[in-house]
Amino acid sequence: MNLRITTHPSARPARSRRVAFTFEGRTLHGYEGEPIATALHAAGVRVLSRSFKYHRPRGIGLTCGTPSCPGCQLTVDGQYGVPGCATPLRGGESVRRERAWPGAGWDLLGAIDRFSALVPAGFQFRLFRRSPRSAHLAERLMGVIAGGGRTVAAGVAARALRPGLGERRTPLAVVGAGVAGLAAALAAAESGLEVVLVDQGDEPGGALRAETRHVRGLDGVEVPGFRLVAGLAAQARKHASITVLTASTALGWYEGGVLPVDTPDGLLVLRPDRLLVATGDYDVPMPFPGNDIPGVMLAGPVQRLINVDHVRPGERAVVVAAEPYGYGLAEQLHAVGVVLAAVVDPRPEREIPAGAFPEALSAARVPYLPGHAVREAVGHRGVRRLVVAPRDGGLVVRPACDTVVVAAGRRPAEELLLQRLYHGDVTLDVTRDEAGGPYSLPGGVAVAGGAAGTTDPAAALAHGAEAGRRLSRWKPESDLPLTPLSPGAAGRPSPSGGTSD
Amino acid sequence: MGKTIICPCHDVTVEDIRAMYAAGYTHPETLKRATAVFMGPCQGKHCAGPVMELLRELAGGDEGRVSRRPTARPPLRPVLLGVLAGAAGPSAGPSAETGPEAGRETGAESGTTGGA
Amino acid sequence: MAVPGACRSPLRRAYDVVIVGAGVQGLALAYELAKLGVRDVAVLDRSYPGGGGSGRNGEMIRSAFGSREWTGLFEESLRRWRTLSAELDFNVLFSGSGYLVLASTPEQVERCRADAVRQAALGVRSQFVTAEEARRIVPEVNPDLALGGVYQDQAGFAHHDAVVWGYARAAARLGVEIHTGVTVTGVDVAGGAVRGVRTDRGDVSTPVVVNAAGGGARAVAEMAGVRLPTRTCRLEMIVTESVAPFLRPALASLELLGYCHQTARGEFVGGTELPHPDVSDSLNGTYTLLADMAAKFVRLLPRLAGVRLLRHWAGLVDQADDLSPVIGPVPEVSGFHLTCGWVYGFMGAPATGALLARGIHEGVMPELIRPFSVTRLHEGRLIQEGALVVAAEEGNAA
Repeated sequence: MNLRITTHPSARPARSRRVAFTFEGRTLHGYEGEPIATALHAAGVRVLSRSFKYHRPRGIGLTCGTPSCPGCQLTVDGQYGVPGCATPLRGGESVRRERAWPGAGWDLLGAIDRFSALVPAGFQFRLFRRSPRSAHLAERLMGVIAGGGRTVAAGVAARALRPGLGERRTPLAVVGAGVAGLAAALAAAESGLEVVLVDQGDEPGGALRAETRHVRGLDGVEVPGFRLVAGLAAQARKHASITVLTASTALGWYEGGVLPVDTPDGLLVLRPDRLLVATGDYDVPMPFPGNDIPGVMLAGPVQRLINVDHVRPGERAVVVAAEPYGYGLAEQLHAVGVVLAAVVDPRPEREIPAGAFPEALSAARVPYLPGHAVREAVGHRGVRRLVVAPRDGGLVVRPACDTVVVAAGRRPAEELLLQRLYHGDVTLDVTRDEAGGPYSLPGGVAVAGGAAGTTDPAAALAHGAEAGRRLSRWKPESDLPLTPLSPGAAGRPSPSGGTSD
Repeated sequence: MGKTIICPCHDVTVEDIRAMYAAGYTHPETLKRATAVFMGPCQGKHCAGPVMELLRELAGGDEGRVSRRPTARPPLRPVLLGVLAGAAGPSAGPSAETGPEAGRETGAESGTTGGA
Repeated sequence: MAVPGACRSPLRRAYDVVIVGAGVQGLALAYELAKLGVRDVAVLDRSYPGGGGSGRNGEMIRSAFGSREWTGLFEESLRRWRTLSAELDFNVLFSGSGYLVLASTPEQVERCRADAVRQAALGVRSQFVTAEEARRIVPEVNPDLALGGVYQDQAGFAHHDAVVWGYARAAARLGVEIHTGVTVTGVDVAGGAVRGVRTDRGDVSTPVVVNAAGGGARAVAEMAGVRLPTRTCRLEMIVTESVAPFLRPALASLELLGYCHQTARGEFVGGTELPHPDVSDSLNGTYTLLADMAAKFVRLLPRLAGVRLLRHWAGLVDQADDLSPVIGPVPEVSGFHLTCGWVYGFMGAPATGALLARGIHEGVMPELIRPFSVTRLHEGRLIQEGALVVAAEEGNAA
C-alpha cells in the first residue's frame, strides 16, 4: 500500500530529496523537509504514540494544527516530546515512539484501557483515602506510568541550553504568517512601519499552503492559494522593513508588552509597540465514540498531508462534512486517488444547501449520506469502519474505511489575543461593533484572518491588509498605554473592550 | 461502544465531564482541575471547543450561566526551559558553556535580527 | 455551584459566623468550627472556591523552620496533614516524600545546622544533612549548590485543589453553607463590634466575621475600618510537561529563593522570588520572573534544560513585614477575626483552621496562634523566622 502521491493534479511543487532515518532500529525513508510524522505515516506506521492515561494508540492527524499534539510526540535523537507533525525531517535522525512498554506497537500498558471503568476522571481523590501507605505506593506507580519513560538524555540538556538573541523593540509584531499576517505585514511595511513577522511553520503561508483552489488576490487575479501565499512570502522576504522569522513561536504576551519568540537560533525577546494577531484557526473535533482511533483525522491535517506533503491519509476514506469545506476536501481526496467509501453530512437534510455534493463525486458514484449522524468509529489500532445512521431513524450504514476525515468547523486560535487582553485578573471583553466589523480592541492591537473568525481566504487577505494599514496609522502616544500596570491599577472589564483604571 | 475522547492529552471522556459536572464541578476552572482537561500539552487548543460546548449544554443551554473558558496563559506552545534559561544570561545553567546547536533549520531571514 | 458541597440555596439573612474567602484557610476554619458544633457558618467567595492563592500555590508542606513560633504552628499542621485524607474522607494526595531545604553557602549550612538543633529541641522530626546526603536525596541536584541542608522525611506536598475540595465537602456535610459568586461589599460595625456583612446578594447579620480573603484581605479589613499592615505581592510559578519521576522530595533553595516539586502526574512545579518583592495585584505573569525561574531551576536541576515549560501563572500573597501570618481577633472591632498575611498559608491551614476555630468558639486564642496576633505588628514585636524561601526587603528576617 503506497500512500505517496506521485502525480498531484494541482501541480503543487513536491519535496524531492529522499533521505533515510532510523525508526526503532529499522531504516526508513522520507523526503527532506516533510514532517517526521508524515514520513512515518507514509512508511506504514499508523500508531505514532500511546496516550497518557489509557495508553490508547494514536495516529497522525488527530489534533494536528495545535501543534502541541500529544498524538504524535516522538523521541528524536534522544529528545522526547518532539511534535512529529511540526518537525521537518532532515535525514539521519533516530526516531522512537514513547510511553509504551515494551513498545508502542505492542504496549502491555494498553491493558489499562480495558480497566478504565475503575479509574475514571477524579478516581485518585477517592482511592486510598484511608490508607496512606497504599496511597503512597499508588502515587509512585502513577508517576512512573504518567512519566511515560520520558527522561532527559545526556547531552540533550546541554544542547537545549543556548544563548538568546537579546531584546528587540519593533514598531509592529505580526504573529502568524498566513495570508492575513502576510498581507498585514506588507501593508504596514508599505505604510512605513518596520515589522517582525513570526510563524511556527518551516515556511510562511499558513493554511493556504495546502490550498489548491483559486483565491482572488489583491490585484484581482485568481491563483491557487498556495501560489498566492508563496508570492506574498517572497515579497515579505525581499522587503527591507520586514523581518521574517519561521519555525518560530511567539510564546505569549507578558506584562509590560514583552513578546518572547522561540526561534531556532534562540530566544528573541520582542517589545512590540503594536501587535497583530493572525494566528489562524483550529479544526473543531467532533465527539463520537471511537473518535481517537488512528485513522480518524481532522480536515486541516488531511489537507496538508495531501497538498503539501503529497501523502494520502489512507486508501479508503469516509468524509464527514458538516461544512462546505468538507465537501471540497472530499473532492480533492478523490482527485488524488483516495477511494471515498462515503461522504456523510450529519446536519439535518433541510439545512444542507442544494448542490452541496460536488458533481464530480456524484458522477463517480461516491455514496452520499446527508442527514446521517455519526454513531461511532470502529477499530482499535486503526479505524475499520464508521457507523452512521439517519437522524430520524432508519437503516444504520457501516461503510468500511481506514480513514475518517472530520470537517466539523473551525474556531479561532484565540490564545494570544486572550493573553493580550488579560488585565489584573480578568480577560477583557472583546466586542464587535454594530456592523459586525472589526473587534473594538485596545489601541495598537488588531486581529485578522482565521483568528478573527474569517474563513474565506480572499476576505482574510483584505482584512489583513486593512489591519496592517490601520495599525500603521496608530501612534503609541495617542492612547493611554494599557501596559505597564502600576500596582493596584488592575484593569476591570468594560463593555467597549478597553480598560478602566 | 468505544470511548468518546474529548481531551486526547489526558484521555478525558465525555462521560467523565458529565460525571464530574453532575458531582458538582460546574465552573470551567474547577471542572478543568477535576478532570485535567485544558491541562495537557495542548493547554486546551484541541478541547476548548467541545468542552465549552458541552458545558453550555449541561448548564441548560443558557449561555450566560457559563463562565469564560479557563484562562489562556503563556507559553503558547511548550518551550524548553534550557532555551529560556540560556536567554536569561550567562549566569544561567550549570556552566557558562552551551552545547552544539540542536541542528534545527535556521529560519531567521533578512539581515536585521536584533543584536545578541 | 462550582464545587461539590457548595450551597444551592440562596444566602440567608443571618449566620453565627461569616467567613470571607473560600480558600484553604477559610474552608479549613469552617470545617473545624462545624466540628466544634457551631451551627450556622457561611463561607462567602466572590468566585469559585480555591480560585485565589489556594489554587495557585506550590503545594509544599513542612514544619522545619527556625523560630519557635513557626515550628510550633506548622508542626501541628504537619501532624494533621498526615491523617487529613482519612479525616476528610477525600484523598488530598498528601505525599510524605520528604522536604529538603537546601543550603548552598557555608553561612546557609551553619544556619541549617542551628535550625536542626532548635527543631530537635522543639520536638520536630528533622535532620541536618551534609552535602553528600543532600545529593543522595536529590540525585539530580547541581552539586555546586548542594552543600547541605535540613531534611524532613515525613514532610512533602499535597494536591492543592484536592485539599480545597476535601475541606469544602467535609464542611458542607456538617452543615456549612459555601456560597460562591458572592462579593462582600461592606462590613457593618457598630459600637466597636461586628453586626454583619453587606454583599451583592443581600445583607447578612452576624456577630463574627473572619477575614480569610487572601490577596483581597486588606480591602475586606478596610471595610471594617481596620488597617492591615500588609502588602499585596505577586508570586509567579511554572509547571512543565509530564516526565519520568526524577525528583522525590519537595525541594527549596535558600540561595535561589526557589521552591519546587514533581507531582504524581510527573509535572515539575515551582516558583522563585526576586530579592525585592513584586508589589502588585495583577495576575499577569512577567517575562522577568519567567527568565528568573528558568535560569534558576535549570541551575538547580540541570536536566530541566531539556524539559518543556507548559504553563506560567501568578497569584497574590498578602505579606506582613515579618512574613508571618496574621491570625486572630482585631482589638478595635470585636467579632472581627483575621487569618491572612499568609505566605505559607497552604501548609498552615489544617492547624490554623482547628486552632482559630477553637479560639473563636471558646473566646481565648490557643497558645500556638497567639504569637501571630495583629497587635505584634502594631507594637513592633516582629517574629524572626529565617528559614523562609521568600523575597523580602533588606533588613527583614529572611
